[in-house]
Amino acid sequence: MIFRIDLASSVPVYRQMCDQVKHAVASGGLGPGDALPTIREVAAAARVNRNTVARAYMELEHEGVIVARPGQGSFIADGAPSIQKRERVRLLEEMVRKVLVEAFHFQIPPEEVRAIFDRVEARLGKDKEKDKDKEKRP
Amino acid sequence: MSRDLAVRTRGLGYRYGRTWTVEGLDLEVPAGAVYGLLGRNGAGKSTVLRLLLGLLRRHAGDVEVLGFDPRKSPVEVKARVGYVAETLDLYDWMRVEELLGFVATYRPGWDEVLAERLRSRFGLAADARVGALSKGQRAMAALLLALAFRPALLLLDEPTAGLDVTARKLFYETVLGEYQADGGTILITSHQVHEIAGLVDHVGVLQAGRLEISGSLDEQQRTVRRWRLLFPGAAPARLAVPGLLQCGRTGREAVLLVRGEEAVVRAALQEQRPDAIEMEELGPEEVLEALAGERL
Repeated sequence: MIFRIDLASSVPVYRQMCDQVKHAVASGGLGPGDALPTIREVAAAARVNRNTVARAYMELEHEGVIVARPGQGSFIADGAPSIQKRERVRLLEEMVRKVLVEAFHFQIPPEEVRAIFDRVEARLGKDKEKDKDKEKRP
Repeated sequence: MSRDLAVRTRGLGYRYGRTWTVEGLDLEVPAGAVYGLLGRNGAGKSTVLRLLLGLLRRHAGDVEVLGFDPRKSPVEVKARVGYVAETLDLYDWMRVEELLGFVATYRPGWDEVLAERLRSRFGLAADARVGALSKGQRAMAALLLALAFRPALLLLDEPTAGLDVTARKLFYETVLGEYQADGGTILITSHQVHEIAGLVDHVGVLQAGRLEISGSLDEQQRTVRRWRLLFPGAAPARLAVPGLLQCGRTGREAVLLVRGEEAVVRAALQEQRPDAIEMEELGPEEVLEALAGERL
């Protein structure tokens, strides 16, 4: 697990770390029992305060994503995959939120955004059919 | 004194000739914190660190460093505080191993294993002359000397000034991995705000020898924001807003960095009668730059 921290982002650093671990679990990059680097290792490698890393790990433990085994380190929890679905929905919500903020700045009302959504979805559907046709052809 | 504070000053003052270069300074650094002391050149940052260490004698106020007064107990303070400054006086005629051996003799708590590990990680040849080390190697040697006796407090005064990117990276990796991860307290001054943005959890801003702003970085991040105002005509030349850190104008738009509660700032901005107000949250890097007066 290598953390990428964006110090220009207004998202707090510990939250960025939490999100990256959850993202890795949601995408299957990390599974139950996989070890996370120690707080010391993360602090040195990402050059962030140990208290920040500790806060991220505490948060993840609290949410049941990781478990801390004394003397051994932190591991992805057995129950972590069940949060996958929830996490995927949350990530999507975050993206939709960004789209709506952009739409607001472009002065496009939500109804029109929904219309755009349907249009793009329809186009994606067509592309898929085309791809299938291509596959069928020898 | 509170056991939770590594450093506590009350009304600290120092004058150079007739000018007070540090005045009425109330500084509190919580134990285990990484405290970034910001301020322009000549604001008194280095002087404060030297006063804490007892290298300078204060002219006013009280100082407690790890529970000791550096004026009354200079030895106790120096035995517990590691210090790395831009201007380092190492013994140029010694070889690296001689330097380490020499410092080890007067440093209680010197950890030989740690010293050797750092020496090899920093690529400092044992038989190299100290005077022949590169600027980067000298800084790493100074860090080694400051860390190897496992001090309870680390004072870093522009520690990476003039170093290349690789050396800076190694410097901070070591400070965080070998020192802070064990619970040590750090007080650091740096012009390179972006390179300490991930490290610090507390911040203070010195202006003309006074501490203008002080507190946790979280708190600063909650209160420092960028505001964009769009005016019907040209943006006014002067915008009187409480908590204003910086202000810039281009045509109809004014961009302000303001410190204060969102609702209070918004109300104050509305009084300027702009067409539109837009608020932006900042990342730690921008917050520090805003406080240091470096960025709009």
